[in-house]
Parts: sequence; C-alpha cells; structure tokens
Amino acid sequence: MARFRDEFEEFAGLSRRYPSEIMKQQGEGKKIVCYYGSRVPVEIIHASGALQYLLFDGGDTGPGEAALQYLLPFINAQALYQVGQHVAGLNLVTPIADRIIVDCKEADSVRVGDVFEFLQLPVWKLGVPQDWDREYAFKYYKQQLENLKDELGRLMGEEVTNDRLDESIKKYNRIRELLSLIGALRKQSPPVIGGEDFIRLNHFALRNDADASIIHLERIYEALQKEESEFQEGAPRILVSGRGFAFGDYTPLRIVEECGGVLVTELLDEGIVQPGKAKVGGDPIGNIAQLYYRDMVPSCFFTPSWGERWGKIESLIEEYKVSGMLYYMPSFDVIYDYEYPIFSKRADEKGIPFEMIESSYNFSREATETLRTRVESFIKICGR
Amino acid sequence: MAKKDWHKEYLVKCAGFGDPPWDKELDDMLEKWRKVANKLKLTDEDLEYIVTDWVPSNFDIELEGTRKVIGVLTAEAVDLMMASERKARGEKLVYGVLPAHTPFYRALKFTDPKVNTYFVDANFISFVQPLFHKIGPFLDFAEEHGVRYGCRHCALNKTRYTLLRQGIVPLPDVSWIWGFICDQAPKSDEFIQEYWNKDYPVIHSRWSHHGAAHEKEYQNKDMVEYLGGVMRDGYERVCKLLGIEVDEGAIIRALEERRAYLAKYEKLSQFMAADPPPFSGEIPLILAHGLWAVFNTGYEYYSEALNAVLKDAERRVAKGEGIVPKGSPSGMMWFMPFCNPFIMRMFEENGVAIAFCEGLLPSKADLEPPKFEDPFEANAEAFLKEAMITNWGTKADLTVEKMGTYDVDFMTWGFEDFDRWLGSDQKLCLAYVEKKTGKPCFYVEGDIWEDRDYSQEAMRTRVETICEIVKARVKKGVS
Repeated sequence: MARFRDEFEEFAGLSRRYPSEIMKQQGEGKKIVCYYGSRVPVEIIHASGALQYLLFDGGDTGPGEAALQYLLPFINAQALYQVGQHVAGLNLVTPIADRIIVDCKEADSVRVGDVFEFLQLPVWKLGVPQDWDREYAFKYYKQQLENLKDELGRLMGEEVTNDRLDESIKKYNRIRELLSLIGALRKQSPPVIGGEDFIRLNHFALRNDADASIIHLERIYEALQKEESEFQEGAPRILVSGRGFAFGDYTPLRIVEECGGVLVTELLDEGIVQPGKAKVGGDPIGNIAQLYYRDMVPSCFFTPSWGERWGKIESLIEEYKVSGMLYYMPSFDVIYDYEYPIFSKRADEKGIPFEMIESSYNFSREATETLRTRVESFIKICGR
Repeated sequence: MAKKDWHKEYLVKCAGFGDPPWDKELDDMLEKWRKVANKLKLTDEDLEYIVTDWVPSNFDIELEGTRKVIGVLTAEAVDLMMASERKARGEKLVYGVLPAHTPFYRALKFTDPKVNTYFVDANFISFVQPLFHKIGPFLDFAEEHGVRYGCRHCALNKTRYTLLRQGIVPLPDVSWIWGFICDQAPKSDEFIQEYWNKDYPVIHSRWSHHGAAHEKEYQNKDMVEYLGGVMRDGYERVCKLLGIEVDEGAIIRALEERRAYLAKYEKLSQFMAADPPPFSGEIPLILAHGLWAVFNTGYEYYSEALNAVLKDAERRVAKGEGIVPKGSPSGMMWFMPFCNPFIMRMFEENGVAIAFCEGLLPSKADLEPPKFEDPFEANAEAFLKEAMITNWGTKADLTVEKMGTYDVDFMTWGFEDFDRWLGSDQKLCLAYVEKKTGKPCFYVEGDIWEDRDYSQEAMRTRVETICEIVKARVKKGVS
C-alpha cells in the first residue's frame, strides 16, 4: 500500500496548500472565484482563467452557531456552516473572493448567498430551475450559464472563448473519468480502496488545480492497480447516499470502515465530482448544460427526481454487490429528510439493510461513540 | 329546558349565518355542517366550548364583520369536506398550495364550473386551528407516517398528507403544485406519491430564486418572460388533464376579479391605520388570504365579509373605538400567528396593537396595472412584485415602504422558523429595516400554523417584553 498511500498524501498536501496558493496568486494579479453548489460548472470558472474554490466545508459544530445571528436554526447544518465559517473568520478565502457563485436550486443555498450579499461579499446567483424535465427549464439554465460566462469574462477583462471552454471541458472530463475508474476499483472484493479514501480523493480534486489533479489521479490510479486490499474478505459492502460529505467531515466514513464495513459506492449530490462526460466541440455552454442539468443524476431538489434517483441506486446495488445502505444528511436538511424514508422503504422492499445518520457535525467523544454503536450494529446486520 | 343545538349556535353566533343575507342559507348550511363536524369528530361538547369560550375569547364576534370572516373560513371548509361527493358526481378536483397567484385556479373554474379548486392544507388549517384549536392530531398522524417530527417540516404539508391519507379529502384529478416559493411544497406531493405509493397527476411549476439583493425582479424582462412561460406550461398541462380549453379570456377575467377585490381591500388597510386600529390585524389577514389561496366558494362570501368588515371599521374609526386605547402603539408583523389567535390577544392585553400583516399587505407596486400584456406574463409580473417571492433585499425594501405608508411604530418578524424560504431571510430583513427606519424591530421564534412546541407562558413572557420596549420607545400624543 506504500505507493498508493504516498501518492495519496502528496495529493492531500497539495490540496491543503491550495487555499494559500490561490491567495498568493491573487496577490500576483489573479482572481479568485468561489462557488457553492453542484450545478455551478467549474469548467466555466476554469476557462475564464480565474482560480476556482469550492465552498463545502464542515465537520465541526462551532461555525454553524456563528451563523444563527443571520439564519434560522432550522436551516441545514451544511448551509449554516458555510455562513458561520465566514462570520467567525475561519474561512480565509471568502473574505477576499472576487466573486462567489451560488447555485440557486434550493432555498438554503440561496440564503447562504443572501447572507454573503448582506455582508457585502461579491455574490452572483445562478438560477437553476428545478423542473428539470421541461425543455424551457433547460434553456433557462443554459442561458444562465451564458450569463455566468459573460460575468466572468467581465471580471477577468477577457472574453471566455469556446476554445478555452473546450480545453476546460477536456480537463474536467479527464478528472471525472479518472475518479470513475478509481471508484470502479471498488467493484472488486475486497476492494483496493475504501470509501473514505475515495471521498477524500474527490475533495482533493475539487480543491486543486485541474492539471495537478489529473497528474495525481493518474498516478494514484496506476498505483492502485498494484495494491492489495486492506479490507477483510467478505466485509459488508455499503452504499452511501444523501447530500454529501463536506471537506473535513470524515468521521462517519472512518467509523463505517473501522467497524468492518467498506463503502463501495455512493449517490451523493455535493462535495463529490459527479460522474459523466461533456461533449467537446460545437456549443460548449450547451454541452456543459447538458452534462450538469440532464446527464448527471437529478438533484434531490429537482422535481420529480426520487424515482430516477432510486433507479440509479438500484443499478449501483447490482453493480457493486451492495449489502447495506447508509443515508447521510446534515441535520434539518428538509428535502433529504423526505428522501430518506422513501429510500428506506425501497431498501426494505429489496431486503437491503438501511441506516440513516443525521449530522450537525457534532463529533464530540460522546457523540462519536454513540454513532459507533449504531454503525457497529448496522454493519453486523449487513454482514449476516 | 331544551338542549341547545351547539352546531346551529356555532353557525349563528360565530359564523355569520344568522345575519342577512346568509341567514337564508342557514338550514342548508347546518345540514352540511353536521356532516362535516361528524367527519372531523367535533362533538357537541367541543362545539359548546368553541361557542361559549374559545371563539368569544379570541374573536370579537360582537361585530358582524368578524362573524362573517369566520363564516368565510367555515363555508370553504364545509365545501372542502364535500369534495368526495363532488368527485363521486364526476366533478373534477384541482388542488394547489399556498401561496399561489389565484387567478389561474379561478380561471379554471370560470372555464368549467364543474372544476373545483381547493387549497386543501391552507384552507383546512386556517379553519380548524384558529377556530377549534385542533390541528395537532393531524400533524401527529403525518409524523407517525414518515414525515419526521424532528426535522421541523412545514405544518401545511403535513396537513395535506394526513387529509389525503386518512381519506378526509380525496385524491385530486390534478395537483398543480407551485414551487415558486419553497422547495418543500412540490417535494411534498412527490413524497406522498413515492412514500404512500399513490399515483395521481401532479404538475410542478417551479422558480429558482436568483434575484440579486434589492433587484426589482418584476422589472426584469427575462425573469418575467420565463416565469410567465412556466405558468403557461403549467396551466396548459392542467387544462389538458382536465379536458378543457385554455381560455385566456377567463384568465383576464380572473385577474380583474382579483384586482377589484384588492382595490376594495385597500380601503380596509386605510381604516387599519387609524389610531386606534378598529380591530386586530388577523381580520384583514384572513380577508387577504383569498388573494393567495383559492377558495372553491369564490369571492362571493369574501366580498360580503369584506363589506361587513368595512362597515364595522368605518363605524369604529368614526367613534374612535378600537382594539387598544387611543394613543397605544400600533405595529406590523411580517406574518401573524393567526392560527394561534391567543398570541395576538397577548399583545392587545399589553396595550399594543398589531394592525397589519406585512407579508399579505399590498404594496404601491401591487396596485399598479401590469406592464406586460400577455396574461401569463402579467401574472408573473404581479407575482414577482410580492414580498413572498422576491429577494431578501426587495422584501426588506417593501417592509420599509409599508411601515412608512401606514406609519406603524414597530415591526415584528418570526413565527415562521419552519419555513426555509419565507422565514429564513427574516433576520437579515430585520437588521436592514431597523437601520433604515430607526424603529424597533423584533424577531419571535414560533410557528404561525401550530403551537405544539411553544408554551403559551413562554410566549407571553416574550410578548410582554416586546410590548414594554415598544411602549417605552413610542409615546404618542393623546388628544
């Protein structure tokens, strides 16, 4: 495992240094564009020449409290965290961002943007119609992406050309492809990579320079071909679904794998590089819109989406020989809170053990051990 | 002594069916009402308590207007409870959710009188909670059937789910769900379908809130045209499912009907600005409810109730009578907890009036004719003017405008902590408005629809504190 772990740590280090690197480059005249939400295509930011920075931190309770002066306590814990992290001075990038692009497919993310606006940060809101099965909605989203391209062109003082968009599409297609290949290695039993490492790799790729990500993911994929699994033969194979794991929110993943399970596949909306491939050539904004709006698994917020999302889960269950399903969501995440009972019921009908973990990012010793007890029981049931 | 018929007593003493011209309908209404009360398990004892204690304690039923306002809610609830019979007769049922722009639903009815339009949850909860204080069991049922208590879901969606699942109202022929405000309403129908495994046609019409702070979205051509297109698509699909033609003339007629009601309603707002306000703000709030929630009974009962309320208001203002003594502070609330009317009484007992429900109060822009000619775009334009849909900055600007128009002494937000759209920007609005107006602004954690989680005594302490601050800050000259 030495080579994979070395490559992994090197990539992790690069990702950890990414905020200071972009701040340094901003000092040299470059622009920083933060973005929040899975329907903001990073390709457009990249093609503009701006330095992209995804907002999706989490994993501890403190920052969320700082947001309560602006937001309801019943906003989801992830959205509260984004605001609180800035308010408490714990995010070094948001105060100096040249733009913050907010994906407006859900009320909570709009409110994150609203607080940033209130605090005089340079917010730009991306309209993302949720009725994704309508042609007019697709056209509107595409137009919104055109507007984003123009906005970033104005910010950078230079038009975002189709050639540059195509170049960015190629790079991010390659990142998506490499992560899909790495993720698919988990079809093996036992797999050479587990869910915690895989989610972390996604995070490293999301917070990194695209070229560096490609180089490191290629090396990691190659290294993994020669690795042996650290997991036990017959370890229960878990699928995880829900909103997603924030940067820094790894405790639940670690506990699952420490308890003898292995996370082999996922259907997560945020904090992950969504699989897929955008077409290159022709109308690049149209190609990006097609990928982000129609080809990716529909967001939980889209209507309707749960039938299609469950269909995807069923295929993952078959493909990855899943023996249990975990649903993970931030507390008070109201639409995911509707989805999980539906998935729980469907999982029951298929005879797949199901467990939901709701998190307010409280991983105190007491909370962690309570969680461990639940997860241990769940993994034991999955192993039967 | 003959035993009192508390059902009749309710209709006559509380709900305006002893007053002309509704007294002519009393016998017919009583027959229907008994069936409804039976369906809702309202006993004689319940009715006795309601007639002798709850309603008189919370509503000024000495006034004909107030009785008729209660009558409007009662008549619609009775009509809603008859929906199964209508469906059995082959009539069509269309459901919607609050808040919607009502003309489309009215236009469906104009096009085919056999189409019945109901806002099941809003109209049921607005009847059963303020008048009977009995929504709790309906919410409990939803929480026992998949909608978790702990996540603080909206009471409206829970109510709709329970009413459908318990068969109190039948499944619709089409549910046209407006997700123009929140995410929860449209996803609730999808939840009901998926979790309960019930298949019924649902049309989703949605809006992604992406206006910049303080942007007047109704002036943004792209937004108006897009939203108009969404409305057109939804309307056409609903008509197709119902087998009726799209009649743009019916939409225009419905728009005019709404505008006429709005113009008359505006007179009431002027009376409410009197010192003292003639009555509590939840009376105008309920009268504005019909602008946002479709009533299958139409505007007929509404218009008669509004006329009666206007007469009461005129008389009281002329005499200098009102809900609090002259010279008392009078404020505005973004949305009053009208389903828990005892909270409003707490303010009044402490010498402070809440005269206006800001969220439903027409703004200057609302009273202007539309700039867009296409009926769908004109509706979209009207909808984008509303504080409920617009961005937080414009919402705050509207509050500043209305506080100035009606010269209120303070502003209170809150009672919508469950609402991830309508409630979630209120702390931002508060900070902005307080700075702009220099008037005291407050935020109260709570729920407009239900009161299971908030003790009356804890609420009383908060209300008393607000009232003391307001009275200390506001000293009006008493003539």
